[in-house]
Amino acid sequence: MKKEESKISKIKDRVAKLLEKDVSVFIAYERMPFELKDRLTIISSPKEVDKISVSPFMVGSPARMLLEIGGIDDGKIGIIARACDTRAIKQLIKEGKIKRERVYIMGITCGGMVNTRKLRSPRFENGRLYDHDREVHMKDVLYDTCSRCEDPLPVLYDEVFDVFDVFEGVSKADESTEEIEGDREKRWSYWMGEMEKCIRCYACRSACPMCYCTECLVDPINLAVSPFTSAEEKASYPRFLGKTISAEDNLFYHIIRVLHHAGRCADCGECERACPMDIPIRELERKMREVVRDVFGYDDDEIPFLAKLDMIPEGR
Amino acid sequence: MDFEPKILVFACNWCSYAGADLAGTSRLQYAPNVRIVRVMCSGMVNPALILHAFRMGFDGVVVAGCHPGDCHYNVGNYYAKKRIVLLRELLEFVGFESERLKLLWASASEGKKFAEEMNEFTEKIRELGPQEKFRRCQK
Amino acid sequence: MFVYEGEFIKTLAEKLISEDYRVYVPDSRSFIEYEKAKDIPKGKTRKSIKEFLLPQNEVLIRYGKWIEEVPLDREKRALIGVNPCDAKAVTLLDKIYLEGLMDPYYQTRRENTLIVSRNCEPNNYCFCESFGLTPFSTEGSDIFLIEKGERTYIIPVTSRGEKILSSIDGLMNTDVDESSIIVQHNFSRKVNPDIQDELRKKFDDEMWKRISLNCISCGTCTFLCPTCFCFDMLDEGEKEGFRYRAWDSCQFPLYTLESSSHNPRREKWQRLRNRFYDKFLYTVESKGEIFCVGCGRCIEFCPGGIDITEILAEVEK
Repeated sequence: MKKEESKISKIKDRVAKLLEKDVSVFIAYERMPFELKDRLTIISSPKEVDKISVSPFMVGSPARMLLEIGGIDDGKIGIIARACDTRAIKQLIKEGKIKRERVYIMGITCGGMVNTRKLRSPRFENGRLYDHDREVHMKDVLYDTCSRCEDPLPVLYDEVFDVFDVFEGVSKADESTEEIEGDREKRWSYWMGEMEKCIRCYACRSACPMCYCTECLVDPINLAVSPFTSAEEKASYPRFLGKTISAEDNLFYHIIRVLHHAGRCADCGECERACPMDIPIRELERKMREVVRDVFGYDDDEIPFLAKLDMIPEGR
Repeated sequence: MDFEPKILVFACNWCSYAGADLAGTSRLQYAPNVRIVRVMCSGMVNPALILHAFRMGFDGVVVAGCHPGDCHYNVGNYYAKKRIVLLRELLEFVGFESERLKLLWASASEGKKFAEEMNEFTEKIRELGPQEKFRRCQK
Repeated sequence: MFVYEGEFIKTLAEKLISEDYRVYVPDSRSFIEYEKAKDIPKGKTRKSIKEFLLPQNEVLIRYGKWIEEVPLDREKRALIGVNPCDAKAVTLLDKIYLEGLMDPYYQTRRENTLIVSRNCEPNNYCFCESFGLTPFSTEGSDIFLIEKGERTYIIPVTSRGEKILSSIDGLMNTDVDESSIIVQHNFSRKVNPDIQDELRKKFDDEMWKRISLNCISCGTCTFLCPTCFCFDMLDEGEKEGFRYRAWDSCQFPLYTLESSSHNPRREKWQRLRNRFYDKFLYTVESKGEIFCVGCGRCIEFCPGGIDITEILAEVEK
């Protein structure tokens, strides 16, 4: 544990140094006062670096925060990013939402985040995780995203800190979607059972770094209007989905949302983590990734997937 | 009781709608279950529109566009193909019969082909039966 | 007080079913029908019981050739295993929907719902004690159950509860002292409920912008909260369809969007601030009650890490 502590203090020193002249603000995590969770915070002066916390309990996507504060300063924004966050940032740069020169990416290696919902009263001491008084192996309580992470190394960075070890047993090769066994009826009743639970709180959409549209297709609660929008324009906004809560309508919402992420999803798992009803949203996203990779043969190009115009093999 | 399927066709203005028109003027009979909606290009068909059609109770949806390379707007039909493939894969994954969604290339001179494809599709949907999964039951 | 040896919930559920009640018991997420339940876990459900009194979708009228009024929902329901915080929340909802302009839909459901609460096991997120509640509070329930080992102590709270209990066999009177069965719980979170004056002073403080950094403007806190009650009215269908009301959240960006396109709470911090003021100041001024029961669901399930106890402590500083 001493090794990790000294690494974290190195990170803090580095952030303090960067804040002196290279970057104007830094996005990092701080420990919540009453809970074993690290949430996002913005550090704007070297005096505040002590509150930075780097641990297996970080929640929230810094890439999303980057989009939110992107317009604040003229200066650079520093960001602590795990592998999935760097994938999100790379995709956002590809789509033109962030300029590469404006971001200073401090990548960190990641061993996975702990799903504290699986524990009743967690404690973390000396690098070991306890629930009440019983020790728990961290790799048993990781988020599903993390235990099936495809690549735990940052893909885009200005510098990298090696903080966590990747657990063995975290399968890199198991990239296939767990197709729910069985025929269509079984799959349909599985998904209907899951969709019955959905309360359409839109936490999945709000937590996703890729869902940045000010005007969301399936939900007219996010419309970009101004006092100059004419009445005709407002009246003609398409309304595909109201606020009806039924399993079919919830599935409609999720399918359309996932379709918009084809080739773009960073596999960060924020959607599933944010869901209060524990719906396996990422299964759909993973299927999308699999289709994009296997059927279309797309593999991380300069051109975003949805803009690429290839013919795909016939017979599909 | 005989089940008559309801089929919705999004036909692109320049090629497939003209093809359907040609089928009509040539007096070629094809299934009356088909309802055609003219769109300017097959690339404007939103997957949400297709799912909405299933929610309204349609048993089958066809998106008909120009042959690859012939699109009036150059590349619209490529986008359509990509979207329909993605949507079909996802629908199959959740257990919905993805055969109910079809993508068809038909040019303005292929009136006969249009009629034949429509007949074939209608028969296929008739065998599959009524679409119950996405259909909206009023609460 | 009565005492019953053995599994009372089963006996009660069967009795209620025989009297044409539809019985619901908790599973970990929400309340499900008794017949489908496998076991009944202790602790809070994720969704509160407000969905039985104020459903997430409620169809009000149907229209087609004529306008057809939808009949009121008179189904008799019994909710067994409710937490004391949720039961207290029902009395708060009553103040909104039954006082002043009475809501007939809510009232019919309320009259036909039997609430059987049970002592709960608080977790680290609970802070009901700050509002005068305990894991053994009976406010809002019809019957209160205290499960202790092999036996269940039963307290009839309302006359309706008494009537139901009078027809069950196997109940024995007992004059056991309540204080001997009640177990104190040490709550780690605390909130000072008398912060109305502080809130009045701090409306224009810069703290709201700083505090709302983590909020992602989803609707999780409001949808899981047992006392939140805002709704939206929508119509579906053109030539024929229905008008329904659905839960709405003050955290959604378009909650206050006016038809002129002006949005007085366009920014996230304005919406977050409004939630606190509504629950801890405005309802105190209009109804005399704080609209929070300390269940802690908003803290437990907030994806961004907003903590209501932390923010209220900050208000007091």
